[in-house]
Amino acid sequence: MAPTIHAVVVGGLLWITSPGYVLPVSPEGYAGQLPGAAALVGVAGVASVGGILLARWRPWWAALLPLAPFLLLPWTGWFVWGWFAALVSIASIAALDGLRRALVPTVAAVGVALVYSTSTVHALLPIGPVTSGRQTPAGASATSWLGLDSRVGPVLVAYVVAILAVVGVSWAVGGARRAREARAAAERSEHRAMTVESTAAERARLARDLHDVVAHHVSLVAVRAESAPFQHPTLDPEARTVLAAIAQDARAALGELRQVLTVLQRAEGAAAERAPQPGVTELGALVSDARSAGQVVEVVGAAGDVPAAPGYVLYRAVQEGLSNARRHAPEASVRLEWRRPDGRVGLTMTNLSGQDGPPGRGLLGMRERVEALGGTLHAGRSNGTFVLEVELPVDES
Amino acid sequence: MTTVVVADDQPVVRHGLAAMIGAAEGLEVIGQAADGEELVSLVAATSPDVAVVDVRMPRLDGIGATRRIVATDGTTRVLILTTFDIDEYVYDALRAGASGFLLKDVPAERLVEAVRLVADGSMLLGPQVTRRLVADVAARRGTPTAVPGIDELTAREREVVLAVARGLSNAEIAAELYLGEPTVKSHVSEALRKTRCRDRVQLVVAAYESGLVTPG
Repeated sequence: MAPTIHAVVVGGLLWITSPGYVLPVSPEGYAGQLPGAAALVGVAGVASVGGILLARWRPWWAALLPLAPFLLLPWTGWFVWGWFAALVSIASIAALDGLRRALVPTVAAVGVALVYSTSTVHALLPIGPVTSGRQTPAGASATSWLGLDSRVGPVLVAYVVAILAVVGVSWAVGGARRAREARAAAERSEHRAMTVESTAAERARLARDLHDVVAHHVSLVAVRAESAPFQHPTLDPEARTVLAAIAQDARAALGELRQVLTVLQRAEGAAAERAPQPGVTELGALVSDARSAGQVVEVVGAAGDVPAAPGYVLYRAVQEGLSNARRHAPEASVRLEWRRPDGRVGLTMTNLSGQDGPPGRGLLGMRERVEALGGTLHAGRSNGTFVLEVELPVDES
Repeated sequence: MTTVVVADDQPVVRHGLAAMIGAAEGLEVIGQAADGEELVSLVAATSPDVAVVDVRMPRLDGIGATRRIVATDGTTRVLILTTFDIDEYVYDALRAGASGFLLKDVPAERLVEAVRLVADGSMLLGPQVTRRLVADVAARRGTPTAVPGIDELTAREREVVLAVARGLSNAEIAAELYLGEPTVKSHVSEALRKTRCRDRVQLVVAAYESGLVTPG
């Protein structure tokens, strides 16, 4: 129960147990009222409610607020039962966060119960002023507090048991809640760690693959520059010198790329690739492989010419998309639609989605790759259809 | 005339390599292949002396193709060319039976030299690659596998094999063991014959695998 609910409930109790509410219905009128008691009772009620609202943060100080009005007892001979309820309420709220925090309010409540059950003071209840069982003449003084009565024992036991039960139940409820929250927090941080880890792995893989693409390109430059004089024997010596210098530069660049790749390879612990890095030209084979595995794939338009890096990312996107579709809805057909707006290449993949679920790691990785190349990715389900949209800039200069 | 085939999936690279090799005296390019499958049929049809093969090719990669080529009775030797000298490639290529390993972007004269060396069975890996091969074998050191014929080597042949495994050339071995170069050559041929190795590189691999040479 939230402290505000406690505050409202106890506030109601304070109202219906206040002297202004109780004493007029009391059959014998009431002595022992102090002048200005109404104002004091009002202040005490506000302090009690304030104590409840403070209980969560400063339970020990909070307990003092409803406890203070009890100091009036020697003069009034009665107390507002709502003050006591406020103490129990504070003990209960504090117990949610641990028994230690509930110590002072609990002891205070038990103390009040002890005083009440061993004296003739009146507790103001909605039914009227009630004593713990000793009927004393009106105006009984505080000096008779220590007189004991045979009915005192059961009243004290009942009060103490009730207080301890409320505190104990709160403590148990709070413990269960703390355990639940701790579990949820652990799950959250584990999930976060996994996301971070898989994102990092995905980035390392992307970096490796892109460097791989670049290295092959540079290698091509080196071979081309080196072999040009052999393919064109009529080249003049100056051109040969330039080509030799280009080959040398390409070799130097490759040397550095190899070092970068060694680091990335080590970071990822991946096996060395033996197949060429795929690009858009391999998409045809990918689709026909999917078809021969029984998947229905409809292709609209064509990717056209796409440079190696975005080509690689598109290939991976289609690969991931086809395998997701196979996994979630093996029977459904997949539609692959290509667009070539200015300076970009766009792909929309649509397929029926069998089940709802959180996006897989594959999608996470895909987004990572697409965004690394300055592209956009939208993925989502609507009406049982999964739509994946990828758009990448293509530098056509 | 030494006959050569070139396999690479990138046409520009393939043509470039073929041009550089074809321009060299005594070397003739008799065919080109764009993937491993094509290469295997090309080698079966033309039985060239040397196949210059890229590792990363579609359909069948260069290492798989090497294994298939070496498994036949032919005499074709394989020179692996790659963009990356990843240890894994080197080791797998040599285990598959490749006779040499070279980076694609080497200058033309080194490429031609490598093809010639592979053709006469005396291609050695560069000292860098040999060192890494040793480290790799050390990392995988388990129980040595029996290599048939290694026990039949004479003490002298053993010495020569050990020197070959250290990456020495015939001339260097001759100087070190106070032998004539023709004698070293005949010891090497004898060792090759006994261990049924195709060339010196395979002899080095056999030496490591049999435990004759222990890395370190």
